[in-house]
Amino acid sequence: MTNLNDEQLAELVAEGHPDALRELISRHYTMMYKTAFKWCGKKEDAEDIAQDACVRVARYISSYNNSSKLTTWLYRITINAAKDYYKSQMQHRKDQQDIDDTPGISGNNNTEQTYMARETLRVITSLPDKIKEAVILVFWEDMSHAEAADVLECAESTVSWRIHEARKILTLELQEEGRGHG
Amino acid sequence: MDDQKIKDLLNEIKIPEHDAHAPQEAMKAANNVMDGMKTATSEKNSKKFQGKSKNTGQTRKEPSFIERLFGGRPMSTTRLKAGAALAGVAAIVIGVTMMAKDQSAPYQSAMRPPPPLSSAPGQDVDPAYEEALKEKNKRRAQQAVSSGASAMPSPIGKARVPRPLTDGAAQLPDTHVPQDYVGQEEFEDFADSPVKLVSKEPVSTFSADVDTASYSYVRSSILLGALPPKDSVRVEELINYFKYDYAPADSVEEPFKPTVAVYPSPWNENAKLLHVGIKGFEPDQENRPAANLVFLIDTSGSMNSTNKLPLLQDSFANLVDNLRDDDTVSIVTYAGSSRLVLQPTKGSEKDTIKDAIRGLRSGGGTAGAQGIKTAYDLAQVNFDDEALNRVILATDGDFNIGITNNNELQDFVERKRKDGIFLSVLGFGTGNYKDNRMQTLAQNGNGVAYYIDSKREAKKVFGSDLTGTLYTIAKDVKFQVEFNPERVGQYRLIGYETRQLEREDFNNDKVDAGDIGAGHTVTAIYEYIPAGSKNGWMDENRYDQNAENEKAGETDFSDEIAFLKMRYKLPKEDSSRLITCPITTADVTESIDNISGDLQFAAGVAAFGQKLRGGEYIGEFSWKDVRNLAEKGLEHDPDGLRKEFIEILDNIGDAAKKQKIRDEIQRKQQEIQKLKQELR
Repeated sequence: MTNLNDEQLAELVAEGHPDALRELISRHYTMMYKTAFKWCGKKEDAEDIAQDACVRVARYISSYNNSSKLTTWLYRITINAAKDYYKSQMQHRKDQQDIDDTPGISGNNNTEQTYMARETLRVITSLPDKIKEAVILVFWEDMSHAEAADVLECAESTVSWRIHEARKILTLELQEEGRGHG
Repeated sequence: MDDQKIKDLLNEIKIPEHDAHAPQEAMKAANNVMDGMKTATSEKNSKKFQGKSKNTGQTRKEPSFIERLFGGRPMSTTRLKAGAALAGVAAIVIGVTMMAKDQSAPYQSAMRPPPPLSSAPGQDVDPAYEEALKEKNKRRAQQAVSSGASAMPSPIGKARVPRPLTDGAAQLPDTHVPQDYVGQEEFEDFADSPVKLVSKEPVSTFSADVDTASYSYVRSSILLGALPPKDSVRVEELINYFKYDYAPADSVEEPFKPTVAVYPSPWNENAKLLHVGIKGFEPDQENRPAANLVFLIDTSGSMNSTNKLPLLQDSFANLVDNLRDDDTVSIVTYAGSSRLVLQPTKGSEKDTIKDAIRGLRSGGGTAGAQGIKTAYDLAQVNFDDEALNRVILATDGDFNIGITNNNELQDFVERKRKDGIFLSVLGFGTGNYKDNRMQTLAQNGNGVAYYIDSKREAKKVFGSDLTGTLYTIAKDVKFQVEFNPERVGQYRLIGYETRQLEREDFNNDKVDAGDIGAGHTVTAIYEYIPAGSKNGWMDENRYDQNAENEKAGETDFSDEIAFLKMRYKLPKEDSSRLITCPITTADVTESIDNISGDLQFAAGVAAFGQKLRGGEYIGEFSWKDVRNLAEKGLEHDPDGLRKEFIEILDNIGDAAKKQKIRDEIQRKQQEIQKLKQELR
């Protein structure tokens, strides 16, 4: 639809058009899935998170206003979905104690990755949430601090500080790995 | 550790591809939520009007565009298959189209402040979503059991296993809607062909155009409820999308012959339409020469979306199914680098070829410097003078494959074409549809191009029409029509604006023009005002009214309305051949009701295209009139495409209405932005 950019499509979704919703998801699913994967490092969890994010799109699209790009909003939605996913999983663990039956929580056998990539992924996914989201957006998605701040709804300086912290942690963790096994 | 080092480490992490059906599941879950919300709203409303309305609180789900098109659930694969099976033989198109993309990063510029925190999604869990999740978990558990695995299969390991093609592709929506972003798509501006006075300019010359891209584009646009931009509508491409029942050619030596008709213009009582049609010679699949094909496939990261790589894989599988044992296929991919995926393999080894196609994965940038050269080198290695040697490029847009300069690319492709290697370009997905670039290559006549917007279109191009797709039967096809001033006062050509040639180009074999594949049909329609009529588009000249009296030829041409000349070259020849045909009063039918439904349908499509372009010359002719005219062609509709056209017509009022509202919203938003800026 020549005349439909993301933002216009979002409006159609807000009006309740199933085709527009489908189009929007098909346009951005991969981006949302990849973001989710970067968060958790597990394909199946990432798919669940991405699906939750899509549901949130349908549910909350009317709260999206055109003042930022749709993709900014989608990044935010996805990261929030990822955080909530693990919150609810933790809750679930406490409640039911049957972790092993819950898909996604069991094994994370990233055999395809190189050793170093696996280590990097492990270090990234175990970062504190606030550092992790900044690292994903700035280092992995190549956003500027200002852009990341838009997604995270915080001040640019906050992002810069988190990135500063991240550098310290990553240098420590990853260089040690590199020395220890390289 | 510096930032670059961190980025390098991160980029080394392979992100496994999600399951092919994961997006569909997400859509389903999201759709359930949307439906639920609609019901909730409707319940609220019904309560408000209690006592006054019989509304039971049940919401009436509005049929979607696509649902309306197919008359049922849009995602139904069985329906799709039925539709595809219907797609028997269909009209095809010649010319070249090029897709180009400029994948702009999602973050390019500084953005405005984000919305307030309250707009962030809440954390309550939707019942519909929970339901969907439960289903999903159940399915996963079943998968684990059926695969005999005691634990959950490794997610990443699993992703490496080639999935059966149907797994991903069969679940695509039947109709892919283009993903266009304002400012990223480019269309060449062009004005409608102007009215010509026969006394001033009796001769009209143009190149054949059998491109389908414009029709596929317009179709997708209307079905999503938006009117296509004027410059995306090339009327001749809309007409030529359909196949007409023109007189077949007798031999490969004279690969087509003209069918002509003259009948009253449906939208102008003072005018007549002069209709010229040709149909390319159509050998059986068994009788065509063997094909030497090289697939050059874009596997850059941007292809990683449901309507791109999976659809591409499905399209090529279609093609492979229809290959003959003596055909040869090689596959080259390009992303970060170009890669030879499949050595030249015979058509008899279908499974080997299909495995290679299934194994394609996307990822990386679009910068394979050697892609196109490797592809042509392969075609050259396997070159057979008797065969159909062709490179088939599949991409979602960016033709950034080493030769980035468009002119250089044209030269390269043209040079190779002279060596006997032809090019087809398949466009997938949209959003960065660089139509003008496609057109530029098309004008240079370097091959055939298609815009694959759906599985249905893929089936058409690679299934029923494969012979036409691969087998060019005539190249540099040109038309020239000279009008007789005794019979015709003024005329205009409908469409072909971007295919105009100079009068002298007609006899100049150096001038490139469009190609025609086996079985392709080409139609050109002129509208003219008979000589002496006072009701033309222009006033008559005051001083040349006696011109006809000066005519003093020995031969009497007074029966002739016009004289049609066509030039073409056989695929392996460099000099053109000529076909001529007078169009006389004997070709005139006095009432439009007496011409075949086939021609009436073509006139209907011509009116449709002109209306989309603003309808400068078609007066009060309404969408309903267009529909009435097109309906006459439904008797001859072996592939169901005409029925689809009628359904598109039925959606157009809706699209127009929505477009208007959308334009209004955009205008108001711009106003608001302006006001906001003033506030600051």
